[in-house]
Amino acid sequence: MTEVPLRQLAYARSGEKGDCVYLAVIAREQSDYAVLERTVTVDRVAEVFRPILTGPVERFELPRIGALNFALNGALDGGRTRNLAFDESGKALSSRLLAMPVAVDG
Amino acid sequence: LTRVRIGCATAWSGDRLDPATTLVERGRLDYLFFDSMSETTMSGTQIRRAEDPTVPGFDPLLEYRLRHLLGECRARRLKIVTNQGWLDPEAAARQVIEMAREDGLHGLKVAAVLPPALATDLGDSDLTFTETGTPIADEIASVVSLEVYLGAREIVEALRGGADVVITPRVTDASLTLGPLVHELGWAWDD
Repeated sequence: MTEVPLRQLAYARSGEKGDCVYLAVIAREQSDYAVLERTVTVDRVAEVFRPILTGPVERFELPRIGALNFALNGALDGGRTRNLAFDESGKALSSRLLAMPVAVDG
Repeated sequence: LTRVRIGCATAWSGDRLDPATTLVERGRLDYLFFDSMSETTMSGTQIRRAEDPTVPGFDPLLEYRLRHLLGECRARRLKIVTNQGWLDPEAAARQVIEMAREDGLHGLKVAAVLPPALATDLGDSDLTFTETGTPIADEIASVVSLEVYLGAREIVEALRGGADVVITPRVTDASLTLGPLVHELGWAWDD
């Protein structure tokens, strides 16, 4: 097993609604979806964002498009329009998530 | 068409233009779409307009972006779908028509999807915030922006009417691609 940054296997799409951030992690190759499913778990995502999270993380699986969608509840200190953080956007947070190391074969 | 090629020109209000130019020139596209809207862009625009009513209600980068792309899109018979209309798609469409005239692009058909009429005073309504369940009426004084999300129907209507450029107010992100797909592939709404 070797570790690579998640961004080698996936790209991300993101959005915000109120105090919730949605991070979609999408496999670049459909064959890597299984790796995403195994390694990008609710616990690991919650660990990455622990310093800012006030609510639970939910994961939604969309295997036919090779994607996982995460809802990060309570990640925006009330909402993006009132958040004073520099990296307040889902785009910034998705980039942080893509830096997470994941274990792959070989 | 049985296969539709759609390019994403921008994914937020401040995106740079280079990828869109490359897509138009080399993407063999049928459609180009712009996503240029978010909660923060809408509330920011509402606040700027409250302070200065002469601030346009649509994307201030509309002219810059389309000025660079419109001629090439026209030459390639490539259609544009954009949510850069924000709060005032009609004014945005007028600007595009003016720009097309200035640049000598004749016969360009521009459609504006209008935002649905929306009560600006929700003081009497029984609507509640999704997150908290508390009545919106209780906090109406601090509400900055109210918008309705549209879907792909109006975009499809505009394309059926022969529009080359479709300018929308707030629509779901997916509608910007779903509209062209429904139109070209003849998908049913309950498919």
